[in-house]
Order: sequence, then structure tokens, then C-alpha cells
Amino acid sequence: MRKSFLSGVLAAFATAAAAAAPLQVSALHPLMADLARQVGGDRVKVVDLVGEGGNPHRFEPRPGDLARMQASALVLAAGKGLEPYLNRLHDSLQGVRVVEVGSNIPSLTLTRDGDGAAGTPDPHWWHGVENMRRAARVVALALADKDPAGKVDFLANAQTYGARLELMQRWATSELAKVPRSQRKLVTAHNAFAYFAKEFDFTVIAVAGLNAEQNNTPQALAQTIEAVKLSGVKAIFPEYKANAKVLESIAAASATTLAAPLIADGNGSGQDAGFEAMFRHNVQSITQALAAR
Amino acid sequence: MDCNFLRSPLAGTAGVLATLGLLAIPLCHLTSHRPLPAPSPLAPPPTADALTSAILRLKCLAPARSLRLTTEDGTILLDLTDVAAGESECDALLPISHNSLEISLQADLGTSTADTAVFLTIMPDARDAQTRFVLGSGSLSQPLRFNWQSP
Repeated sequence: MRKSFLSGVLAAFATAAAAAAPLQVSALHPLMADLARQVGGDRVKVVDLVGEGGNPHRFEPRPGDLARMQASALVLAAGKGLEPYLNRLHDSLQGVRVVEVGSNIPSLTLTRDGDGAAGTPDPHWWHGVENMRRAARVVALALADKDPAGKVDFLANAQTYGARLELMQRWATSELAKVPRSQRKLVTAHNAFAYFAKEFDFTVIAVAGLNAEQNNTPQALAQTIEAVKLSGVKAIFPEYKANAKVLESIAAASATTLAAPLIADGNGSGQDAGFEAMFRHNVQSITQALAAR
Repeated sequence: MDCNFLRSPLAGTAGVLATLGLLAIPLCHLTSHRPLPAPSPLAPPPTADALTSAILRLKCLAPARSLRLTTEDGTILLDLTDVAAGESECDALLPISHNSLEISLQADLGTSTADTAVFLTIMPDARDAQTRFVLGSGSLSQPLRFNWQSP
């Protein structure tokens, strides 16, 4: 009798402990990790595999990362082709659900030739505020699938986060309204801002390809310098944590100034980490460089 | 019944030939290269695409006594009573046909005569978000039309 009472108490403790244990979620992109934290709150433990400041374009999972993903209930990827290793990962992670958070978000198609990627979806969907709001709900439902008891919390957190993003979007619209129509052109090192440009009515002139490390031929650079001169834009934007040498030479050749760098892949550190910080940083940088004075 | 004719050599030969002929039909089917039957014409394109998953976001600037969203075929997407001012989201399957959709919004906004607004944002999978709104007071009923480009 005493033995069965003790085992009952132990079982109750074990159940309570299991219920209290946060859901482990691995993320293959710093901004997916941020989304998981925003939506999951205390109910999740997020493993940011790329790490704060890491570049998701360069990331490839190592054996240690695979082990951490195996121990997770869920793996969050950005999708839209950003993670070329995803098919192999699906095979390796049998039983662990991999969610491509951006898969149902409407795609913009890459048009630029020379990347070898023309005609494919642009993977940088996180630069759209509305896209991030949608993504928050995708993450909430994916988390709820693994932790049904937390569904109400996850959806409420996604809603709160969405409301905050809506305010941020309004702030951005009003800030960017300071940029005259003739200057609403983003000359960037990395072809990553098409979703931002669509949402806030800019056009993009990208110097490098999808990945900031892609090389440019002298002909392509000459064309870019010509395009910058023709555009009449007064500043061009290097990429955060990337070598600005090419941009410096374009700025010198086109008589423009080099603005504060833009964060393209959610790879900001410290106060620039996370989506909201990245977005505010970029809007401020653009406004400071291109606003009418 | 007179069966004598079966015993004649002519009738016997005819019988054997007839049996061989009958046997030959399936053999022919098995061995000859007959042209495949022409495929039946393709089914006509459906008038309505398959149901599309979507997120619906509803924003009421003032409380509503009731609020109902229905599709053209009468399917109720949302049927709420005592709706607080604010924003809420839900998932729905929408009959988007030829890239367009009509949703009827009916709302009872109570007895206040001040105009208010109800916003409906639809975010179908792989399609842009679109927002429509209804403005007014009292009982409102308005069709809201959404059109998209092909995804």
C-alpha cells in the first residue's frame, strides 16, 4: 500500500516535471530563433544553431548541430531555398518535424542574372513586416502541434507580437516618408531587400548577388556604377559585418556617399539582434542617408 | 430436336473452325499491337480552385453585438457574438476561384449612431495579404471582393 502510494507520488512529480519542461526548438536562422522566442515565451527553449551574429547563408549543420536537432521537438528553417541542405536534413532527422516557416509566404522572384538564381524565389522574406506577422502565426501553430496545452499562449503571444510589429510598420512608414520619391532607391551590397522595397515602395539596385560574398565581374561593377549615376541617389548601403571595399569604390566612382550598413540576414549582434532591432536599424540607416534635408 | 446435321463432315469441320475462331480472338488480343484507346477528353477545368488555407485577421474599431463572415456559397467562415474592439486572427479554408473571392460581412454594431469600421485582412497561402473594410453604424451587410494575381 505504502509502496503504491510512493510510486503514485513519484509519477505525479514526473508528470509535473515533464509538463513544466520547455519544448526544445532548434532554429536554422537567427530570425527564426527570435520568432520562436517571441511566440514560445517561457514554454520553449530555443537552440539558435547559427548563433547571434551568424550568417545563415554560410551555415551548414555539423554533427553536433544534428545531435541538438535530434533532441528537439521542432526545427525551424526560413525556407524558400535558403537552406540548400534541407532535404538531407529531413532524411537525417526522422521523427523531428522541420518547419519551413516562410513556405506559405508569397514569394518574390529573383530577376537578376548572374546569380544563377534568376527565376527562383527570393529567400529574404523576413524583410517584410507583414511577412513576419504571418510567420509568427505559422510558428505558433507549429509549437501548438507539439504542445497543445500551450496553444492559447502561443497564439496570444503571436498576436501581441503582431500588434507590436504593426506599430513598428506605422513608425517605419512615417520615417521613410521623409525620403523623397527621387531617392527611394536602395543601392545595396547584397540583393536581399526586395521584400522591404515592395512593402515601402523603394526600388533595389543590388551590387552583389543573393549572397554578399558573391564576386562581381568588372563589367557588372561598371554597369552598377552607371546605374547609380543614372538613379541620382545620394547614398549607397554596405552590408553589416561585410567588407565594404567594393561599395567604397562604387561610391567614389559615382560621387555618392557610403551610408551606415544595412543588416540583411538577421545577423545583427547585441542591440541589433532580432527582427525588430534589425528592422529599426535598417529604417534609421535608410532615413538618415536618403531623407530630404 | 434433330441433331443429325452435327454428324455430317461439313458441320464437324465448321464446328472445329468456329471453336478455333473463338479461341483466336483472345490470342489476337494478346499478341497484336492494337492502338491504345484514345484518352477520354480531359475533365473541364474546375470553376472553383481547391480550397486554399488562409489566415483571416479581423479588426473592429468598436465592439460589435454580432459579426458573421460567409462565402458566396453560404459557408459560414466566422460567426461571433459580443465582439470586443480589437484584432483577432483565425485560420480558414477559402474557395478562391479564378484568383478572386467574395466574402459577405454582416455586423450588428449596436445602437450607437457613430460610424465605426470593421477591417478584414485575408492572407491566403502564397498570396499577398489584402484588406477590405466596412464603414458605418447599426446593422451592416456588405460583400467584400478580393482579387489576386496568379500565385
